Amino acid sequence: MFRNFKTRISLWYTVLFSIILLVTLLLSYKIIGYQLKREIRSNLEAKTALVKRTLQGEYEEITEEHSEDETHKYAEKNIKEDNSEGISLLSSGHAGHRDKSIFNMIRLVTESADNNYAVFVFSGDNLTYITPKYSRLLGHISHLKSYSTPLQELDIEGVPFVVSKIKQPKFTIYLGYEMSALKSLEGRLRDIFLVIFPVSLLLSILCGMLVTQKTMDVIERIDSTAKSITSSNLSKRIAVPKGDDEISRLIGTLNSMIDRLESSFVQAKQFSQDAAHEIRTPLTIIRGEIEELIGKEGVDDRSILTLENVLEEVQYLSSISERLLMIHNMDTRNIKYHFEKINLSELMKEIYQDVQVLSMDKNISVELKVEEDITLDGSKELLSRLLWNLADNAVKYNKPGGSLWMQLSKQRNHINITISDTGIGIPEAEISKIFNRFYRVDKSRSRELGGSGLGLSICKWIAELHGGVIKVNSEEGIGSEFTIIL
Amino acid sequence: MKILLIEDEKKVSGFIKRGLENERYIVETANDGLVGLEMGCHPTIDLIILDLMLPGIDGLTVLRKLREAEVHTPVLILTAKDSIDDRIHGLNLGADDYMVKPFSFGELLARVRALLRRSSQQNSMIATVKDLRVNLMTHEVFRDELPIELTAKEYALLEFFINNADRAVNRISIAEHVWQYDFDPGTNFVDVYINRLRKKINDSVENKLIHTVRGYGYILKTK
Repeated sequence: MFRNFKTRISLWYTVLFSIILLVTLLLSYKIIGYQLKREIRSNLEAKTALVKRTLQGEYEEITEEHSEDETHKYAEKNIKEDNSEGISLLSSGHAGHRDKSIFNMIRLVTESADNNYAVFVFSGDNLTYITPKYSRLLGHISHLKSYSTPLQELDIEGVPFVVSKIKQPKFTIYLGYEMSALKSLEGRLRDIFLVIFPVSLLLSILCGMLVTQKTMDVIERIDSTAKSITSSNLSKRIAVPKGDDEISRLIGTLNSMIDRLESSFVQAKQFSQDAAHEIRTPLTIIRGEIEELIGKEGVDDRSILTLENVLEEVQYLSSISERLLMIHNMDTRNIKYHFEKINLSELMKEIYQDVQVLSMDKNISVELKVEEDITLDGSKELLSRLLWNLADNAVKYNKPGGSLWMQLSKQRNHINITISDTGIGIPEAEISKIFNRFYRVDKSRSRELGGSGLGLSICKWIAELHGGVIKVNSEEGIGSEFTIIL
Repeated sequence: MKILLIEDEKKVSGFIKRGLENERYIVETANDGLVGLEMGCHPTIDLIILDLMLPGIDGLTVLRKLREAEVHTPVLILTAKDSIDDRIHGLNLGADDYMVKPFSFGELLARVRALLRRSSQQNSMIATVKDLRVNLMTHEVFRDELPIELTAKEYALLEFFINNADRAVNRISIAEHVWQYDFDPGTNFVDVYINRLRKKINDSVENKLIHTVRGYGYILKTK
């Protein structure tokens, strides 16, 4: 699950983003609620202080704003209105004119700002005044008296209030502020956040995917270029985007790594080519001197035998240097081989004759099945080397008294060459590697049989040079079958 | 016959010179390109063996200048490089044959003789060894005037012997000359082919042409 790096990154991004979003929304919800409530409380506290001061006979300060007459008029008008609604309890006799004006002051103070203020006045246990707007709460406010804290939040008949208490010798006044607006604001805020959250989350997922996609595009581009760079194609580089950012620096680093790789590859190749060239002259000399010595009169048989052995090793060294150069030619691809029309059927027969001779020692029966006159444009030198290498292996790795089959056939546009044996076979795990350079299945045995680990990689190259492929089927202990399709 | 050997590697030129002198050729040597070019222009030279990597001027330049100077002496190129491009380039410039180091002396001698024969015209195109007659142009082979059918490889083998007449040649040289592909010297490959050739040319015990040199190889004796 989530093997894909892109999905993983998007997922991480989304999870982190949603956590941040959730925390932010919750915090702002809480802070907004808290701030509003604090403002309400401080307003209420200010009003309470004002009312207290008024009650202590300092209301002259206030009346500076309203003339006595106006205040009276206002109060009477309101009381009248109150009376007309039949709610005010102020007319119950024992409230004097001064008291009346105090109540009016309280109303003025509280109701002038906004109409969320409620005033409840108790005289002893009796409610003597209630703000007309809240008269419906008449029967439900008796429990107010049990609170003693300066500011108290409470519900009265489902209406949220914050209430302050002002104690006077004659009265107890409760100033209340209705918080329904705040509660409904909080509710709206919650609703908005509940919409914002999933929408933002969805957007963040999309953005996350977009951003990772863009990043991955860059990485995938680097990856595909890097993939196309192989040992034979090291001159290629990843295109560096404009600017100096992390990506272009990464590409720069990769490119300089490929530079180093290429230069060491070139050096290695150059070295093997130079080495192969360099050893040729000494090999020529050794060979010439030995041949001359053997031809001389008076050299005893034992020395001749020794010299002959040395000569064989010189020849082995020469063939290795030749193969190394051939490998070099494979890589550089700048060699144009001379292609001509070749009668593959005749070539197979020639090889067959040689293989017959070769297989006599091990008493291997060789069978040839060729269709006549199959021709092909190719290099005779290379094709005979290809066929010879395969047939030679089929003899070398065969059991004594085994069989070897050589087949050549044409099917439509394809030429099929099959060389199969009853040899030791190739272990399954090794099959994919046998065409690799310097790869030998059985290292100790292979050298004994004259193998350098280059034969099959050369075969593969020759087949490919002629636009073909080489395949192998093999079972350990039963035999191998090499097929070339041209 | 006078052969000019242009080769800077003294040890290489040493054994080639000695070998060719053993075969009664007169050999002159040059150690660098310029000297070689000068000596190569001399009309008494019958064949030039030219190494490509030379101090002074390189072998291909020597060859080009020789041909520009209308010197048509056959040239056999020796080189440590075996890129096909070089080979084609050399042959295009007018080289007559090409040999890649390391080579066997037998192979060199065979090619030298083939080149000298080609340039000294028709009369030597027919080689005779006792009662064996080989037309080196048409590849026809007769023994006691009876035509003998040989496969391409058998003919190549016989020709190699004729060009190395009276000289022992080892199996490796024979195999390299006749078969281009990698050869495992441990097998009796060459012996089998030589026996076949012997049978075909009626090489009986009393009148033997191809003799075995024990532990080494074979020799074609003309006397």
